[in-house]
This record gives sequence, structure tokens and C-alpha cells, in this order.
Amino acid sequence: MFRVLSIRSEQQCKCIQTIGMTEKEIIEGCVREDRKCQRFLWDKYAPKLLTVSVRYCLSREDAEDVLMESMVKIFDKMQEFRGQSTLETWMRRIVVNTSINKIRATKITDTIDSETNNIGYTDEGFDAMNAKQLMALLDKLPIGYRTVFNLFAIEGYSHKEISDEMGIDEGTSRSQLAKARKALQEMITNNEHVRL
Amino acid sequence: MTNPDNNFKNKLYDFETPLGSNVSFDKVMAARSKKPGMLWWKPAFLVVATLSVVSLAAFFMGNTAGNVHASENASANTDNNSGIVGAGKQNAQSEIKQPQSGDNEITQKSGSNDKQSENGSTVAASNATSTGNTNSANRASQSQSTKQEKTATDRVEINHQNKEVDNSRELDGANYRGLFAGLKRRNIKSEKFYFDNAISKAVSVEDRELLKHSTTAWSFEALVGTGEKSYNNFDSKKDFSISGNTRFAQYSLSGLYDLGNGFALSAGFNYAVNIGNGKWQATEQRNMINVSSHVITIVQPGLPDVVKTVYDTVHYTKGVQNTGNIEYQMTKMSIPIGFRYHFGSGRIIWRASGTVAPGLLTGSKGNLFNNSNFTQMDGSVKNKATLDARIALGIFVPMSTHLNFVAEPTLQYQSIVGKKWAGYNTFMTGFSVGLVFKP
Repeated sequence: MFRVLSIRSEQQCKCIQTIGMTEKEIIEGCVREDRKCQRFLWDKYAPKLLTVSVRYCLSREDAEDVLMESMVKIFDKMQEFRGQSTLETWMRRIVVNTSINKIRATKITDTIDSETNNIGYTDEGFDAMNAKQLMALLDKLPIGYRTVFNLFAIEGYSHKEISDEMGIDEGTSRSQLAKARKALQEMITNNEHVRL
Repeated sequence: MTNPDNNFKNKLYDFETPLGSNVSFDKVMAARSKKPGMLWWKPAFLVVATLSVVSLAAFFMGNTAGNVHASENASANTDNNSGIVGAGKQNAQSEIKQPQSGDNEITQKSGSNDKQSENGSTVAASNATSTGNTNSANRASQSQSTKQEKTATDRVEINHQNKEVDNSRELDGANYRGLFAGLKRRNIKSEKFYFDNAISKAVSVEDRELLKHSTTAWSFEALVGTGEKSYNNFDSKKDFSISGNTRFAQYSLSGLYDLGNGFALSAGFNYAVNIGNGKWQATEQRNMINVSSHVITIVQPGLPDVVKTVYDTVHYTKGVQNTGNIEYQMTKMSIPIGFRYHFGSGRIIWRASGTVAPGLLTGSKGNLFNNSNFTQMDGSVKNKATLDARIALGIFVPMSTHLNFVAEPTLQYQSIVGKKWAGYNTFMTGFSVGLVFKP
């Protein structure tokens, strides 16, 4: 049920050879509070994790706060990483949870609307956009739409997980997702992405 | 045509945002070294300390004012008595020193007056002068005799009045120093006590006048409480066990409605913070195989020896323990509904209280755990219904006509409805202090 990675005290972190360093070595080094391993973890994952927090938070400052708070948690709790998922997935989940806690004050209540399900949501128009443009597009969504869309479309959460995570009904989650897709499609249709 | 969601996932999942100057590895490490885990506890401690200091300050200020007030009243009573009889002032004082009651007391006082005949004559003469009767020594003597009789009668009344003063003096004794000294000003007796109804029966005449302005049955209570529960349930035979402690800080505001006879109903608002620290231990039963071997040599006459390796295989179960840290923090809001009952032993007012507080878990972070598993780094446990119950027995100290100090040990049970969170659903002992304000 619980698997704690074995830690051999005599094992030295080979962080100098950062290239080829395995995930297990990174974890063991961080558990030992090896500064070089922690630094390597930061350098490798912080930019990706900042992307995650930026997608959820209302401002860049909030996103940076979330990243800092998440990294403190990650380093503090590294010994409790159970290895049931990859390290990156585990860290992303922490960042997502911390971000949601940050934006939790924004109340999201809605019910499913059948009309919003019938939208012409196609990948036409999105294909040509790069990551920055997509980020900017997401940033224009209302916070509720954006959060549910991020969780569902990018993080791969189910509606059940989203409802548990955010404390909303599954129906609300589905509705928010449908509305988010519709809003994105409308932005593409109206060529708003051109003006981004 | 593919799902457009994949466009976002493929392009954004691994997208890296350049770090700004506000975030850096060194800042993260600096934040870790600050150890903010217990910071939440400091505000709670600060509130408790502030409340205690304010209470003590109010108590001592009120006590000083009460002494001045008492001396003023004593002076007023003496002046009134002197109007009844000239020697009353001295007699009253002597009675205060010897508060023996009954007929003997009157006789002794008459004797005392006889011994003070010279003084009595002077007073009689003075009284005669004040009434305009200055002609006859006999009439003066009769007047003196009459007045002495009247004096004896009035002294009985004086004695009766002074008995209350005597009780008050009795309360002035060393037993009523410190925290309980506030009681002496009200001359509290051995009766049921609570606010206006009971106080008006219990307090002395002069203090009763002060309480006339207080007519409302409502009062307001502010309480701050803390509590703790330690548990050491590590058990290698169980799949999952925990060890550690949980603490809470609770802030409460309530309105109290006086029903009389010491009873009051209460309703209000609670905000509480719970933290838990400890370790979890998971025991995983693993099927183990132990293979041992030994070499045997088979000796057969006429044949070469045969050397064989024999393997013994033993299957057994071994419990492998894994451990980890537990650290969580929860916040909740609730609506406490309950009662207060005040009763006095004559010197101390005791207060018993009981409340039930349905509420809502408003936030959580850390490692939450139940009896068989734990959730790691998850803030999703929220908006869960909670139900707390609390009983307390403590002291209720009047500090002024408006303000009362409360200090009480508590026993509290807290639970999350539908959840069996190990270390959370539990009884906890604690202590609360607070103020009750009576408009």
C-alpha cells in the first residue's frame, strides 16, 4: 500500500553528473537534503511548474507565489513521495492543488446547460497557434471556465476528480467545461487570437 | 479531425515559462528555513494573552473603584445614623467591632452607654438644644432618659443594618484576595446567581442601586480556547496506525439570553483552527520465502561418496513497516448553541456550560488521514459538515457591573460528519478564557 523508497545513507548524490541522473537519484538526494539535487530539481522542473500555476492563477504574481509555496511543500514532503506516479505528475498535482487553494475565493456555481454542449468545437484555428498564444487565449477565459478546462483538458482530471478538488457538482464541472470550449471557439471564430 | 483539447495539452503540458526575478531557488530554501508550521499558533496565543491581561487590568481597576465606592457608602450610612441618635456613631462602630447578635448585644450596648453617661448627657443636651428645649434640667434629664430608651430601640435597627455591613467586612478578609476579591463588593451570598435577577437578591443595598440601570436579559460573551490530544497508537499488527497529537484554537462570540435562576441560553459563532502533527505507520504483510541449503555427503560402501546440496524452503509472512510524517491544518466555522448555568457556593460563582456546534470545514492542507489510509498534500477536504460538542465547568468572576471574567477547563468532542479521520474525531481537553459583557 505504501512504498517508501529505500534510502541508502552511504549512497552519494552524483548531481555533478546531472546529465543522465535518474528520477530515483533526484528523489533520494532531495530526501537527504542534498542541496545540489534540490537545485537540479528546481532547474529542471520550476519553469514547467510555473506554467501550470500561471494557467490557473489570476496574475503572474499569484502564480509565482504558488510556485514558491509548492516548491517548499515539495522539498518538505519529498520523503513521503510514494512513487505511485512519476515525480513530475506528483509535483504538478501539488502545484494544481496549491493554485486552486489560491483561487478558491472565486465562487463557481453553475448548472449544466444543454445548449452549451452543442457547439462547433473543432481544432480548426487552434492548430496554427503556438503555446504562448494558447496561454493568452486561456487567460481571457473567466476563472471558473479556465480552471475546469485546465484540469480536464490539460491535466487529465475526470469530472469526478474536478468536483472533489473544487468542491463543485459534477454537473457544474461539465457545464463549465462546455462553456469554456464554447468561449474558446468564439474567440477563434472572432479572430481574437490574431489580436493577442 | 482531432479533439481540440489535445492541441492545448500537447502544446502546453511541457511548455516552460521563464522564471522571473521574484522566484529563485535560494528564496525557496530561505522560505523553508523559516519553518512556518506553527506560526498560526502565535495569533491564538496572542489573543489569549491579551484577553487575560485586559481582564486582569479591568479587574484591578474595578476593584479600586469598588473600594472607594464602599467607603463612600459607609460614610453615608454613618451620617444617617447620627441623625437618629447622637451616640450612634460610636455605638455603630463598636458594634461593627463586636458583631454579636441577640438581646445580650443590646444590653451590652446599653451598659456601654451608661458608662458613657457623660458623653450621653452632652449629646442629650446638644439634642435638647437643637430642639429648642433649654429650660429644665429635669426635663432635660427626662428627655435624656426618653432618648436613651429611644436610642436603645434605634440601636436595634442600627444593629440590623450593620449586620449587612458586618457581612461585608467579613468578606473583606484575607480569603477574598486576588481573583475573587471582586465578589466582596457585591456582598454575594450563598444564593443562585446570574445577572439581574439573582444579583438583586444577592447584593447589598447600596450595590443594588447600581444595578437598577441594567434591564436587558441579553449579554455577550467572547471566549478563546485551546486544547490538545496526544495519541500513541502505533501497532505493528494493524495495517495502518498513527501517533502524534492534535491541537485546536477556537474563537467564539455568543449572545446569552438570561432565563433567570442562573440559566441562560446561548447562540453564536465559532472559528477554529486545528493542526495535527505526528507519524503514520503502515504495516505491509509480505509473503517471504526463505531458502536455506546445506551439503550432505552420502556414503555408500563400495561406491564413491555422493555430495548433495539440499535446499529447505520455508514460507512465512513478515510485516514490513513504512513510516511517514503527518502534518495537517484545518479551519472550520460553526454555530454553537447551548446553555450556561451559574451557581454559587457563597464565595465563588461557578459556571457550567454545554454547547453543540454544527459547522463546516472551510479549509484543509497537509496530510489528512483516516483509519486505513491517508491523503497526501491535498486541500480538497473542505465543505464537509462538522459536529462538535463541548462541556465546561469554570469560574465566573464579576469585575464590574458590566464585565465578567470567565475561565473554564473544557472537554470537547469534534468530528467530521461521515468521515472517520484518525486523530481528528476525538475528545480533547482544553481551557478557555473570556469575557461576558452585560449592557
